Amino acid sequence: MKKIFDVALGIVTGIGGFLEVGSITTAAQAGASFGYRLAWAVAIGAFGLIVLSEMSGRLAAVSGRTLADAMRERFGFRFFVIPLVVVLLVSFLVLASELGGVALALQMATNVSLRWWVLIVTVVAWALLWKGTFSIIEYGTAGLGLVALAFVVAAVKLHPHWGQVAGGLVPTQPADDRAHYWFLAVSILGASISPYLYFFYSSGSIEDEWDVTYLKMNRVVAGLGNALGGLLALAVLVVAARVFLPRGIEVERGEQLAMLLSSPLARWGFAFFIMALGVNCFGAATEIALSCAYLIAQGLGWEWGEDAHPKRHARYSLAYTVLLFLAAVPMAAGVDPLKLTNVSMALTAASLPVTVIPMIVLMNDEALLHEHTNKWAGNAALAVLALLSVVLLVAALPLQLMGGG
Amino acid sequence: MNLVHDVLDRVVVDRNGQHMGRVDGLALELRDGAPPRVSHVVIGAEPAMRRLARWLGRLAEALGRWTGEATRGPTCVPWEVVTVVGKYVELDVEAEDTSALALELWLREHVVSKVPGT
Amino acid sequence: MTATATTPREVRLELLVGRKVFDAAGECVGRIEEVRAEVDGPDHVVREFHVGKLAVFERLLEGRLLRALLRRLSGHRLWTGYAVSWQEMDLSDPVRPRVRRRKAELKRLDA
Repeated sequence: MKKIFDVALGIVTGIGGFLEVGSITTAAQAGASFGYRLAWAVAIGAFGLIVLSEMSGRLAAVSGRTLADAMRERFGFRFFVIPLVVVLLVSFLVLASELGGVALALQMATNVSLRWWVLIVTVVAWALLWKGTFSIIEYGTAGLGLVALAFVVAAVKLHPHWGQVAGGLVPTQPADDRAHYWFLAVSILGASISPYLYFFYSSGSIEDEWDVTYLKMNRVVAGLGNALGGLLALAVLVVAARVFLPRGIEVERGEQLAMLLSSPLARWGFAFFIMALGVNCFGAATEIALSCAYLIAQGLGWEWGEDAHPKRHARYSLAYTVLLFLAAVPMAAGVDPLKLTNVSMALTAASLPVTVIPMIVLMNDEALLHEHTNKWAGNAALAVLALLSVVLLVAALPLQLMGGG
Repeated sequence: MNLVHDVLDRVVVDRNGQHMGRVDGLALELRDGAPPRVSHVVIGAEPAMRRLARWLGRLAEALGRWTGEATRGPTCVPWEVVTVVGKYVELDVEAEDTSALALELWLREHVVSKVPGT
Repeated sequence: MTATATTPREVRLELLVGRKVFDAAGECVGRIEEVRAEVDGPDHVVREFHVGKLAVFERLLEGRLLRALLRRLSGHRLWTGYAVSWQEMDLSDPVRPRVRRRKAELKRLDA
């Protein structure tokens, strides 16, 4: 019974983790500019996250080590600093974007500038973490965040041509604006496959004391949670394709995003959108802050945990404190949340090799995983992702320069 | 025992299971006519940074001197107190009796306790 | 640093790892990748140093699949590794560890 509850909870938090400022913005931009043509990128993104989450969860359940633990122990400190620094940097940018997402939602609701809202949001997020109430925030935001299901309702109400949507799952290149097309593809992949997500997932498995009896549950949670999350992102893309494309609207400002739901669902749609954006970004922001603190603490051998009290875990608590407040700076200084989001997602995509490639070694290590090492299918999936990650690394910067504007 | 594979970079815990950091270094004592002996487990930012580059090690050392008592040098624990080498390297000491938690304790006293509402 | 006659009594293992080792003729043997120790009474003492590319893989690849791959590669000349006993290893200058023998005389690691 408890496990069924855990599975449901895991799936709901998985969905909440998937949908945040990055996936909403990139999916909306993709739908607005290219119709259903980039649906394949959302699908590959969800697939990638499923594979990496399942493996990090399995590694944690069998070896009793988080992904960060295993990376430092197997590859040593000299190698470990590379993923440590890279993941912290891109997560920091994503964190700043999420804070921007919450502040943007509040700005739309109140007409008060997001530059002020971001400060309030940051203090509230910090205070909640400092008080050790992360589990409440996590389940609260995941539950409330389900309001994002409104995207699915909207997508169905807009009567898309489902055959064409399915056609978008096969990659095709548009006649013009190719740089922008591929830049969005990279951003969508970066928005879906975020390292903080699978690092956090493996930490959660340790905190919940998973062992080999949880492997089946791990597969279900990682699979369903992220697949449903991907479906929501796909719904955003479909809605954007129906709402923006016929009107020739390109998403350039955050305020435009509200049209996604206010157009098909009228007055309620606006409220739903504000809530979906605000709540999911808030949940993501707290999760990223903790995920970064976990990564540092695990890498350096400090104690960590979502409910760790600052009085007993000063270094760890100050790590997320510093990170959160620093991440509020770009928004408070007037950086455009949408622009920052696009850059963060592309850089996240470029960062993937340093975490995905080492996993090939870890997931085949019998000392860590005993008989639960990767089988051929897992290795094939991981090899494809590793290859993809290298392509993303090479492509991200030139595409950012050519098609990011 | 493979010192790199099985010991270096593992989490160090004290006799109560309190995390003390990771094995950032191991000291070997050279002896005439006898094999080198593992003498100390070394924990600290300076030995860890030193592994990346000599200048980073010096930087960490200088920072340590500058901040004073909080990060006073690496923690060297004699190998004799190691009780188990497994998932963790377990030591028969109290973490608070070593300097491994110096920074943690300093931050608790000088920073965390000053945050309102803590 | 001025060279003094006394050998340092302490070397740091973490700084030894990754150092290039040269043989008696000045030829490069490879980098130190693993240090094997054994219980000796109350102590743990170093028995041998594993040097060379093969030693990296020996340390990192514990899976059957990757090991099989390694075995294929180890047939190749590039993928060699040596087990250097503590008597053979001269650590009097820890920055430039030297082997007291010729490379060809060292025990080869097998995958």
